[in-house]
Amino acid sequence: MTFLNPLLLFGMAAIAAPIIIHMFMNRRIKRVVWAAMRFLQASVQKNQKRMEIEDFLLLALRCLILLLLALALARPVIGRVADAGVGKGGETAVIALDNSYSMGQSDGSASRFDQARTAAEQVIDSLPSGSSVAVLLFSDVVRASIAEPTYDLNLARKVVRDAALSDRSTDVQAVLRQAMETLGRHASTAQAIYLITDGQAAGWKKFNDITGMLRSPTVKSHIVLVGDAETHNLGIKDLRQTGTVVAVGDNIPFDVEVGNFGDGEAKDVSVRIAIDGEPPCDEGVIPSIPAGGSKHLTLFTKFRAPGTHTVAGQINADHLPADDRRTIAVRATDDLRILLVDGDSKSGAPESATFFLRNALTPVPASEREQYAVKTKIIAADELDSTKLDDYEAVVLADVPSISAAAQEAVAAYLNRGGGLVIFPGPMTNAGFYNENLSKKFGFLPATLGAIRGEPDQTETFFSLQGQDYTHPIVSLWKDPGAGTLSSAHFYRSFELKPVTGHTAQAGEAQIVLKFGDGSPAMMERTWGRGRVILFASTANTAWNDLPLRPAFLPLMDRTLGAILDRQDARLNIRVGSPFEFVCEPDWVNKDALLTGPGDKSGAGSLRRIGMQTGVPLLHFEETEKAGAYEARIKSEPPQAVKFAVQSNAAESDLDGLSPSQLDALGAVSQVIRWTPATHLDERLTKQHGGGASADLWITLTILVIIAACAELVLAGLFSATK
Amino acid sequence: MASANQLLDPVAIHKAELLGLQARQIVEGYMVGEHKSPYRGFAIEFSQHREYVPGDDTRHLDWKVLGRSDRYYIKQYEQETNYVAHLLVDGSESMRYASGRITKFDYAKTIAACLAYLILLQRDAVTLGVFDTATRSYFPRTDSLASIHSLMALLSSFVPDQKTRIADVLHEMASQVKRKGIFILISDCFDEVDEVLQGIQHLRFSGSEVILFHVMDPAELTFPFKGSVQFRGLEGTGNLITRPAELRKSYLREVHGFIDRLRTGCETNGCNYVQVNTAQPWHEVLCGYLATRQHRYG
Repeated sequence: MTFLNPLLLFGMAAIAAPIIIHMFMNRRIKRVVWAAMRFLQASVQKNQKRMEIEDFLLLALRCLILLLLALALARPVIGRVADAGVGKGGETAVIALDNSYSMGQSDGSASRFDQARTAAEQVIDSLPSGSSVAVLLFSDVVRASIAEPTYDLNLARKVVRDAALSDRSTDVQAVLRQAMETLGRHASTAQAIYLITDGQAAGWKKFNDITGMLRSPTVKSHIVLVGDAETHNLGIKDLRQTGTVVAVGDNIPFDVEVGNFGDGEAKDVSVRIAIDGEPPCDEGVIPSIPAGGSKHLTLFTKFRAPGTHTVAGQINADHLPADDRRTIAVRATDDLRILLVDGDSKSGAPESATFFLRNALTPVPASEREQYAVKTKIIAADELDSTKLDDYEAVVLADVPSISAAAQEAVAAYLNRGGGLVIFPGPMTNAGFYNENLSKKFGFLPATLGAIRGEPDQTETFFSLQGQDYTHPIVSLWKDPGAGTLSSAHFYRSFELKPVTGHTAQAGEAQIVLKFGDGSPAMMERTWGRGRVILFASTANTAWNDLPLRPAFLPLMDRTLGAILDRQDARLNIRVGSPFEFVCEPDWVNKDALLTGPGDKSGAGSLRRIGMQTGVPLLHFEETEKAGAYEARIKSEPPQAVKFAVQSNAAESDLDGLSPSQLDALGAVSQVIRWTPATHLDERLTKQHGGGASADLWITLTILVIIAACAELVLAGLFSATK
Repeated sequence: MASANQLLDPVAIHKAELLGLQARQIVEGYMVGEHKSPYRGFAIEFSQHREYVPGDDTRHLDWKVLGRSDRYYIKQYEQETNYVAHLLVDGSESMRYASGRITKFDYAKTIAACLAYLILLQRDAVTLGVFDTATRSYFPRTDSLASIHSLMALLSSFVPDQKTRIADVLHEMASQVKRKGIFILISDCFDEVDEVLQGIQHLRFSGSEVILFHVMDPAELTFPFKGSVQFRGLEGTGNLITRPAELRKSYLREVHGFIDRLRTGCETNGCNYVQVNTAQPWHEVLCGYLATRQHRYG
């Protein structure tokens, strides 16, 4: 005999309760002075024996009730017996149904998810009477459709039938942990987990931990594998804008990475991109993608209007449609304003700190600058206090000695709202101020400014930028030698950048963008609030280096600006299930936004109110379970629209199943069933259930408790009647 | 303890006065033709005739009847006269019991005081004895209403704290009191019934009338206790822990058996048995008894 709740056996100590109560009652006895003692003594003499026997009977009965109750609560189980005796319990089961997007793989007639739902219904049909079942839908998150086991099996069937596919990836460990916790809360004689999945290897990352969990002595596990092995699958792994400023009317390159998750080489893969759901605007062909490999293709498009747009990359449909299309959102602009703060009094002159910057950011003749998408404004450092920073996409501090406390606070608020800050130190820069205030106090800087090295006048002695290993997206352009090189620039003088370690809630991890040839940082960046800060080690003019004279300076500045905008636009691209948070215009506060997207089945959209959160006007939307293009229509005057995109995890495209050795290992700890449409899971599992279940004695004991309690009630009434 | 003046219940006295406490039985010394009356010539009234038998005093022959019918008839007389009422109050420890405010002894004292007052009021004589195992306090014969205060003082000052021996006291009284009178015994009679009845029989044998006021507390008659109770017995009867509710019927059988034996014994011995419940008002008890008595004796 075993006990399901052995700790409750301590409840047997409660049999002392009637005795203690008896003793306690004796202490609370009423005392009466009595004259007619002779009559009382006579009646006691006649009844004493009978009363003692009655007392003993009642005491024994009460102790028995408590003993039986403690036993019933401890849930004693007698072995695993085949016959259905009194108290034979049903099974407490958890059905874990995989609804990751790989389950959308179809054989032409039914998807893996359809098969999984059929298998789940068969599991429910196979459960013995008196069983209860919980239903968990899992991908990389677990959604409890029926969180606690219910005896209403029809409800479970309905939940399974109504289950929907998600655009998420798979994590088996999380659902097993939750299933075990659910069963742990429900003591029963037979407990089982039915994991119904396609067995995609990517979902079983911590395989040893998973098998360890399945090796439970109390919970029987059944792994039902649905779907055939897929040998052909192409999917778009990544789609990104290559880091330049997305200006209206410009040809904007988009990099599409297509992966081949099949067993054989894929040839002539047609790739298209389209804007805002319109017909494709550019198309290309990747001649060949090896098995297990991926290839990049750059496609171009133009944006005709400023604002947010969705760009969808698409390949021809295959058996897994979810990864044949990928959507991102970008922001096109025709009015990108950059504030250049010049620390040098010779503003506008070639030797000023911002001269080369302005020309690099607006590389057009002066007469065409008004029509150019990027517009710059140069101010002196002392004008910073009176300038409204929110009017600019980025602020560049070029050789600015220091800024006022008010300006520091304004910059902090500006960065928090998603602004960009670029810093070029120079001869006039007060390193102490930067380190003390911008780094130590506010934590803006990715590095502190160290010692100045080199002599600007010694033109023979210089140091260069790195010539290879360009890993950061800002400088990834120079991976391709055809794009030129950054190492040709001569640096005569620079600050030593000492990277800041660690991160805070506001300030992200400091990253090195570009190094000098000796490996010391030449350009660093970190995120701060919703914005980004980029710090150079040397000047933006030719005072300490000749980089501004080099051809690479222009794309470097363009991509630096692009990185700042990318940070702002990053909020437009989120993972499936992540909340969408968009910093709105201040005058949109308390306006309603109507959000529509691929998950919106009704088409009516969802309304959200734009509110202030931590001082920032924010639009918050959390229903992002489906991948694709979304749009928020702000009910302002005039109406505005913000488009954003939700992307799924490309790793889910890899449909490789569990290896034979993994299946063997799973078979050792649980029952692995390969389900096909011909499989009658209900019949198979019913036989197993009929093969023996434990006899739970709690019902029997509970009945005995009730009988004993009734007997006690009757006898106590009889005994206490006056005689 | 009740003070002397508190023993007289005004309501009881007033109502009893209206009825009058009349002794309807002729007591010793007052019966014409048997003994010399110390109160000769006082309110002598003709009662009846009877035939002459040898030995009768010829002075009482009715000569007029003899002259008319030549038959010998004796004139018989009866006289309303003073009698002596002996009030015997049980002062044993069991009389101290009270389920409410008034103990059985308090009740008995009040009945005794009221009776004494009424008897003295109509110029009859009273003696008072308070007893337990023996007579502890005694007030000798008096027919003066002025002595009522002394009687009540005696009652008030007595503290019951001994066991009971009723029979011994009755035997003692029977042997000491030579003249017939009325013995009014006020007690709970928590003693051996047979012995008590023997004592009563002894009093009756000497020709006295005996009235028993059997005083019981309502709790003794109903046994209303619940739960577990420790009973601490008076008169050294020990302690007992029990659940009285379960014993109520059995106890009441015992009590009623005791009362029935006492009542039957009294009736057999020509003793008036009056059951008194201390929850009853005193005037109800007295008036009830006196009305019954008047009805019975005319």
